[in-house]
Amino acid sequence: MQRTLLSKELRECGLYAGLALLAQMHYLGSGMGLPLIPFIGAERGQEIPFLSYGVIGNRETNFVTIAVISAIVFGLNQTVMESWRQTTLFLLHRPLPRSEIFLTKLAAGALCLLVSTALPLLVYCLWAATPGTHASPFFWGMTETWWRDVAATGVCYLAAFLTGLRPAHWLGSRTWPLIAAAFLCVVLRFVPIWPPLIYSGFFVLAVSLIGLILETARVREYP
Amino acid sequence: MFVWLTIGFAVIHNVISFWSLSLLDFIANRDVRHEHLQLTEEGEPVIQSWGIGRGWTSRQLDGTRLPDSTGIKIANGFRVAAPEGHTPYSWNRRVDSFSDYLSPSTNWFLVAPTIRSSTAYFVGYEARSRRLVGYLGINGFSTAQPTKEQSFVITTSFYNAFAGNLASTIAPGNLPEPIEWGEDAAPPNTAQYANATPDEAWILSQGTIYGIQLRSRKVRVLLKDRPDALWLRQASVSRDGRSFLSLVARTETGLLFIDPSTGEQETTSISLLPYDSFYQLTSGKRLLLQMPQASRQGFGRQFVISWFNEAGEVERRQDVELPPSTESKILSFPTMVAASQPSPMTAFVAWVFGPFFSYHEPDATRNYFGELWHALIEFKLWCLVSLLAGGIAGWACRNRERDVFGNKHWFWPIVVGLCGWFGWMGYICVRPLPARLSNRQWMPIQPEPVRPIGTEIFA
Repeated sequence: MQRTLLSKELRECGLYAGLALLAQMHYLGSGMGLPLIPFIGAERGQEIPFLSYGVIGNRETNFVTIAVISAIVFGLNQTVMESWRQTTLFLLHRPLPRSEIFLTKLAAGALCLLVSTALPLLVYCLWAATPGTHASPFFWGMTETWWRDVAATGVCYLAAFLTGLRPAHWLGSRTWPLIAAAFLCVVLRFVPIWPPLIYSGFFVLAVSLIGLILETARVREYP
Repeated sequence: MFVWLTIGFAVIHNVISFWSLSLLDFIANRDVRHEHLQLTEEGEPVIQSWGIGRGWTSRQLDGTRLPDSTGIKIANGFRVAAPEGHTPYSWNRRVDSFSDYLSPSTNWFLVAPTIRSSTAYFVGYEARSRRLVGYLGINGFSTAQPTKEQSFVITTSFYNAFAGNLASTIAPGNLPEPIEWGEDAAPPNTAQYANATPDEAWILSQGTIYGIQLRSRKVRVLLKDRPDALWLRQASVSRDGRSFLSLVARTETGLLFIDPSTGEQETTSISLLPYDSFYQLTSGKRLLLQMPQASRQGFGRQFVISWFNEAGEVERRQDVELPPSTESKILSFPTMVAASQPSPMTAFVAWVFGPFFSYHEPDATRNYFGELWHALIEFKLWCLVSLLAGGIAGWACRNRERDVFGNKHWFWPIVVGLCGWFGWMGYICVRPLPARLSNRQWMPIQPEPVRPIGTEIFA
């Protein structure tokens, strides 16, 4: 039953994940000299991989924008769209505890997020770490803030999921968890403290959101 | 959930309050003119003023209006404050890029690989083949990565330890333009100096100034045994129609001027304050602009300008006082914080931890309780507003808990009182009012089950 549910969720999020992956491949690929659409985006040789002139560079801006938008789309698609189509009622009548249903959905969303965000970043890191690919220095520490972006994307996905699940008005408090998550992620992205503390902060936020999602799913009266 | 909702609402509240205040500030200050004291390239002070819809105007100190405000060339000075004493945390500020502008060109990078060791070295890559060329450390060129002992020691940002003709091409995170240069092409946007080659740069490292020539890949010692040198800058001087580069280093007792080709030193002994600015004009004149009553953020309306002669002595001194500002302070930082953060907990956290992060000059002595007291005085409006908001929110929460939910515990009133206005909004979302019955009573959250009457067994 769980495998079927996972397959269904992956199928439904797959389209958005594929689009996000293509966009990431284009913008990160242009940094490697392999853009999907030539002439759009900065080309290789104009910047040091992972560094920027300002606080945040164009390539990182593109990366994090695509990642966060896709995370929010995944989260809302798995909740709001299902409520709208009333698929949730069908799912809740399957012989599975509610917590398992929602954890399976979260696992599917997280998998889509990893494929569309972490995987392209890993490829870009490996390219930058290979000698002879660019005429500039590379240290793994340079990629650290980009991995923070990935962690922030995960938190935003969970917050979007909670936002879609909560029974509240859109013009009321429904979006507040997502706004709070975005704010806290921005703080953790830019605060100059020891990186393990940053990732611990992201972990605490994620665990808190998963707990709230399960609690909301348990007490919510459907439809 | 309460925490998430409270933070989410706080963000929305902050955006709305900041937008409202900036709108009010814009309306209130539409007719206000903002005035600044500037020094021209000739070393004469002018007062420049700017107003919405009126553009820039300039006048001399005696009030004579200058006809062409936009044509006035302003001198570039540099702040004399001591730099921060640590390697920057961000990688964007730990890598600077340069080119030797040869054909094929080599991209050179000044890199501080670790924060802890505060060391840096140059690493070069051939632009066309992207091949690693080698490294430059204090001992010159090598194909092996310099050890800590062979690297430059830079305990501050590159900006404070680096000077040179190539300085204009410094663009952290950006490579030099990836085009091929002629055999002897001069770097673009760099001045040609009579006493320096275009590819030379200088680094201050533990009291020694090293000269680095990227084209010949050589490193030489220009000056040593000056451990009191705090930072390095560059200035240009015109003599006989030719430009000469002058390196300027701040020491404990004043400023040190160094000729980059010969290493000749010239000292100007001045008592420097953190907010002072020093000007080396192209005509050779030297000026010091001081703000004796500068605010903690480095702003002030009283200035003292000192002109120095060639011997480094003050030959003229002038006091300047700008007219008092008529600007409305609606968008001042204390007002903004008071309007955007009506929460006792935020105020408390800011007061306790704020002094650790407050702006201060790096060479200033810090006093925690002094900073704390100063913050309490400066932000007394915030103190008042947050306490008021917290008190009202806590009181309203207590009434609601007691009258509606029949709860006599103090947990929610205390939490909501600490979080203030934001806490109240979070609270009413997680504890909404139940339905009201026809007898004006509130429906219990969990309605009592119908009492058994004993005949259910027959149902």
